[in-house]
Amino acid sequence: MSSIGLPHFLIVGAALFALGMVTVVTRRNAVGILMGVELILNAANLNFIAFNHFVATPGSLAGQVFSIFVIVLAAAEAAIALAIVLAIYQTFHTIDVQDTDLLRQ
Amino acid sequence: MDNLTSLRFFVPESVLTAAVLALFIEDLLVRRSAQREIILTASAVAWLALTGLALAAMPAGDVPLFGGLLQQDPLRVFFCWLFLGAALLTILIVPKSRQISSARLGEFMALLFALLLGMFLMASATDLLMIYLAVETVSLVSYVLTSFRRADRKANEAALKYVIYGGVASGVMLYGMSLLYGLFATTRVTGAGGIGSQLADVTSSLFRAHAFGGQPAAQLSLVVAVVFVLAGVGYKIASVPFHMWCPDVYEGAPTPFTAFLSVGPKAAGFAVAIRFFFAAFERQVPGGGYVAVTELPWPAIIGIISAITMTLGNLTAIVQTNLKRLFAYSSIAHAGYLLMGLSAASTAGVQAILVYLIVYVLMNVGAFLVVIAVSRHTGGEDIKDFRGLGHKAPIAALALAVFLFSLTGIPPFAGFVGKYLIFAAVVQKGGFWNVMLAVIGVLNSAVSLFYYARIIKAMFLEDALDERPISVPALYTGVLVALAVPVLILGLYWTPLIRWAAAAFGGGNAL
Amino acid sequence: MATASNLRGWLVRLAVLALGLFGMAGAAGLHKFAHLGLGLTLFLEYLAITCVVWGINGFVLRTLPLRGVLLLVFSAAAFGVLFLLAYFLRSVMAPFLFDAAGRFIGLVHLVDLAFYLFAVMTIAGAAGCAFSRNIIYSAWSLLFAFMGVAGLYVFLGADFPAVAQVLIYVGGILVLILFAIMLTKQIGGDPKLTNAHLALPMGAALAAATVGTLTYMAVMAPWKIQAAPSYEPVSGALGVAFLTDYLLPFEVASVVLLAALIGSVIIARKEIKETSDAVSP
Repeated sequence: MSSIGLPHFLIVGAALFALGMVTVVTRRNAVGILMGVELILNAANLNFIAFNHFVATPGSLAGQVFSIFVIVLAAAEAAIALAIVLAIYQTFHTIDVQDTDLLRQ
Repeated sequence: MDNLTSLRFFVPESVLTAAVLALFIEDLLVRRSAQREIILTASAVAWLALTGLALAAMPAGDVPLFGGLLQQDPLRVFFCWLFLGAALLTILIVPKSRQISSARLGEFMALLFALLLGMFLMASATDLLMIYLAVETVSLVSYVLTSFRRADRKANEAALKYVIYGGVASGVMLYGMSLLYGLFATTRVTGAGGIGSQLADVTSSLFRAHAFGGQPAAQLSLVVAVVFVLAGVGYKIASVPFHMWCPDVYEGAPTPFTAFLSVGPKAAGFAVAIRFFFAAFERQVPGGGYVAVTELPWPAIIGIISAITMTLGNLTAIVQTNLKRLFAYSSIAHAGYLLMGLSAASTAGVQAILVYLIVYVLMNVGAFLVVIAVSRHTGGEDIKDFRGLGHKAPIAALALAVFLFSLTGIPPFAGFVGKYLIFAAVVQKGGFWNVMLAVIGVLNSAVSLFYYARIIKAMFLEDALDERPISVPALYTGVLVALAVPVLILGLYWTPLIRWAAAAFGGGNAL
Repeated sequence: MATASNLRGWLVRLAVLALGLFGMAGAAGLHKFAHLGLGLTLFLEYLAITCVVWGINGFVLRTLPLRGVLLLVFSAAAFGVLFLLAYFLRSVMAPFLFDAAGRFIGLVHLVDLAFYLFAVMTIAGAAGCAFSRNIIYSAWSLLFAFMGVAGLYVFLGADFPAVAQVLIYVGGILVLILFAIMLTKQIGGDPKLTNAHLALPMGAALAAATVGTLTYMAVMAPWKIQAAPSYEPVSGALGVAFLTDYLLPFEVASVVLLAALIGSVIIARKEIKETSDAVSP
């Protein structure tokens, strides 16, 4: 019998979430920040599917359904975000978020 | 209620979906027409009217839809009307604002309808999945509309900041939702077996205070989950500490869309917050009052956030010279006032929020409309561009003065009614800290008078930089009057407001 | 020596070494399963070992003054040593080795080992994404994180999400990210500039606090664990769920995707001609 239980998956999820937050907080490259966001979404998805497997009543698929929607919306969000990054690059010629500071008081 | 029978209550949203598709196609059909602005605006207004009709024809009731994904109740209908009003104002403002080129007007309108669809869903979502989907719909479309003036560097930068903050906020919210799903094994917030009813049951053991046999880890999980979900909602309503995107986005976005953004998604965020917290953490007792089901001090948490939000918003607004930024900080401050109503955690508090939201739509959209009217001539939105507006465009200046006094919350204007009701709801709750919160709110109103008065002084007491006259289109004058008159009337006769809010939440008049 | 020929020499040695190793294994296999004659096998082994020694000589023993006949002698000696070693391992050490391996496998379960493999792959990928100084490496690390998560989904009996993860995250989003990196041309040059960090200590503290809290929750919180988790395939059930209980979100998602599609085209395309009515930027 396998000794792998729910906490194992949750800990992997927690690590993914924390690393995603670190990426978001410390990166200056806009694409890098977006990668951090993807990590956070993956962490949440892993939680959903782990809970679906271990906690939900048998036959219920709410967690897996949720994760599919998250994947779909993540793709849409990535498309828009990267289009914006390209637009930024064409106008500012950099995607360093520290350099795009026209909007400061 | 199953999918097929729920459709009866889903007609407004269906109409909105049809409108999105129809407007995209219509945009292609009238591409070469010289009258495209008028045609597109007229059809957008027609679609809104159709949505309104569907909303009015919808049977009343308090039933879960689509097996509990959505909830049909008076609160939903109230918010839908509010969103329709805000959208109508935006659609009327856009064509003459010179911010969206007429070649792209159709796309703007179609996306605005998609945004409206997301907000409608936010107003009725009672399932974590629907809440996430609706919030994400609103966010994604908002990113696009923010960067609509593509050649404008500010717009691009604003969109980048928006998408980064938005992505992080929705990711954090999602993580919180996954924890909630783990704790309760369901994504339903309301209804039998939902998070709310489980909390009411479970409170007896797991989530009770530690001393009474509760599990500290369970409590911690619940707190972390709720705080994470709050991050997503707080981002939508621009409360501290998720407000950083707000000034940049408000400044960079096309001004008509800024006006919409400052009232629509903010109100939608409050719709979600009210539904979520009252379903999950409060239990209605016979007699209409609410009692907390957990020992979690969420009213206190929201109260603290509210105090910080309004203070920070008001203090930062003082030093702004760009009017769009100034209104951005002022809208952060208003999010703080509104949160105060939520922290009262009572029927009266929510009804006060609803009243305030109606008034806020009128006065904030009005204020932005004057900014648009001025900046389409001067090209700028600084306070200096408003000097001498009292001579150049008396009606617009007068209307702006009315809106600003109302935003401050000075007695004969409608803003006063909203603020008074919120403060009263908090004080009514009793206790030292609630009274302190109300005092902080009053002090903040005094601070806000300072920067609002600066604009009024520039308009009426300072000389203009140049003598170029500012011609306000007749449509704008009409809209301004239509917004300013209710602000004046409702400030003196506010019974309809209260009646409407009471019908939308709690049933009885608690104010 | 020119770099190119140097490189070619290395490649040749590497190839010969590999050929020798495969030859050794192959000859042994032929003897075992195809009943190749012993003499022929030994001859093949000899050739293979010569290749190996020559290859090793190229890499490691470059200082050995072995050429021609001397090299052959050395190879023969090496063959003898290896043969003895193999004999020793087979007849003396094998029982111990098999026993130990059996115990090891009994201790960890192959399934657990696979889980830890995927978990380490995920976390290492995420860490690489967070801390790599080159944005291209960050993107490739993300690939490992996504694949690792897909592997974990399989462990959780979520076959369809696992495939969707690979198709959409790896095949879609990651490719999109790589395109964005390429199109913004910030690779090359000073890697510090391309993917610099702000306030790394703060980030580390944040990570430590988050992981600490969430791990405490993961281990201590009273999750209501089911007695017998199911590993049934879910694709069919998911399809039914999408068309019954979750029909509304399914349809809404399609509207959102349409709006996002048109929206990203609007953002990414060239600005169309402004009409006279519009303010010039």
